[in-house]
Amino acid sequence: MNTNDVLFGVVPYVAAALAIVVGIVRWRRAPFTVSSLSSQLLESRKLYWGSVSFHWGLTIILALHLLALIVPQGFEMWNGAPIRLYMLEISGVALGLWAAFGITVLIIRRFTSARVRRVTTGMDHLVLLVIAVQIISGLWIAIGYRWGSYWGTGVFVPYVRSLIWFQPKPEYVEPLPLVLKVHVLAFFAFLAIFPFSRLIHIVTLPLQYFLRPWQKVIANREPKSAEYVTNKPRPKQFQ
Amino acid sequence: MRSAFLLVGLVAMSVLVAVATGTSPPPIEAQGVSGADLYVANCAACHQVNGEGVPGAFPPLADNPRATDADYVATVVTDGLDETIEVLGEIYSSPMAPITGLSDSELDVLVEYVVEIAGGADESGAGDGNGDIVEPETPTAPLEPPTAGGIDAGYDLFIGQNRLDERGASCASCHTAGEVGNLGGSSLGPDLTDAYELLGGQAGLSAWLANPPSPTMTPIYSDRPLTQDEITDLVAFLADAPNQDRPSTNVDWLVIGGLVGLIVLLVGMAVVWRGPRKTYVETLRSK
Repeated sequence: MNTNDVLFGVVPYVAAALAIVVGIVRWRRAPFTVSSLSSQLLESRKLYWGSVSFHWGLTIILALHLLALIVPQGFEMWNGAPIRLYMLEISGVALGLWAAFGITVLIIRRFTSARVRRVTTGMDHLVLLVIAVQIISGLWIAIGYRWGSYWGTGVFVPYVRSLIWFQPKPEYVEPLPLVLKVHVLAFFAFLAIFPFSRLIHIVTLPLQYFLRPWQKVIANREPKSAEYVTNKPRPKQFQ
Repeated sequence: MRSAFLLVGLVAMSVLVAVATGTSPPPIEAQGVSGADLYVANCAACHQVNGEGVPGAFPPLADNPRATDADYVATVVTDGLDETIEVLGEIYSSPMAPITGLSDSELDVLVEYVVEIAGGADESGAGDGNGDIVEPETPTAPLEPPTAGGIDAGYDLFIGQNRLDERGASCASCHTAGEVGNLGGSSLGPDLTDAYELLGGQAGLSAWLANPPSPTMTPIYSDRPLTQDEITDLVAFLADAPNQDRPSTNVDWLVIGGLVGLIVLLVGMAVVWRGPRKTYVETLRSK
């Protein structure tokens, strides 16, 4: 068993085990920590530009990755005509850039907003780092090793399926360029930190929203800065 | 609470490592595999089952004085070869990819087998100068064009317009060649425009495609080989590829298209989504 076998044959199972087992334990033992730890109340303008771009860009890209895993033949048939291949890949790059724009805004916000920085933990930094690596390597692959939506069906689909059927075939990954390996390993890192971080909010589907009566949340106090540093005059109704 | 998570995580991790390592198929041991089997699996695609090679494309191993040197054979198998060599009067310049995935004992058995078919098992002292690296003195004669196959049919197979019978990935997934693509073909694998010449014309390229020996392609095509008809058409297309005009790609339309898409999305955010909703406090303030 060489390094490649360990990284691409064992590490994925370790990461998946962490994600599933610790995720369930956390859900049962500390359900109130299963949250996105939103900081929207602390700062909302930058969050809008960062969060919407980041989440939509990334979710659509991720969904397309999963779709390729389920129906690779569909992608191969779609890509059989070059014009369709180019449309798909250009859309993918646009969505990737959207997500990259989003995470850039979110990273800047995390470091420049005093209130947000106050509630930031080391794990938040790690989450941003892992996802940033994921997005940058993904764009690098899309542009430098085109066309991923096409060769992915030959190289990565059989690899990921071999993992799912518990017969890992890490030899699919061994001859590939380094940046592809980084992209894959970053996903395993993502899985591993998922249950220990705010990433766990991915599995919280707010289904009860459909059943409960609506409510209006009203804050009746002036929002204060983290350290009372604001120099703005107090609005009239609060004086 | 956090330490409890960590503890559970560590236990789960060790259990899964045990499961994962236990369920992966055991490595093939050389004891149960003969040199001949390893040769057929790893070498015969190019050097042929009987070791006679393909003249002008892949050098013979049978009666090849270089292949009687076990150390040399082992080095070529593990590192590949990217030099022009002369074997039994023929010049060979096709690169050979390293053979990966062999254990040390398998390598020994394979090398022993190759040395044997080279006729070197009972001789000592090879290297009589017959295997020196040479620069080709004159450009080799132009290769014969292929005798069969359709260029257009090969193109359709190459780009995936027609899918391969065994459902292997189409060539354009990883490669480009000839006139393929306005945005350039795929750039994961090498450009195949010169593959016909590099791999020794019809015979060499056909042998290569029948059982592709590169480490990336072997796992993909070992279960889903190309049919003979497909190989014939693809060889015809690749033979024609150097004559085809490729649209010049000074501008990377993929990046430009992506940036345009990004701008459209951001404008959409500004216009359609109308930004963050005002908080109740902000609504009160603005009154």
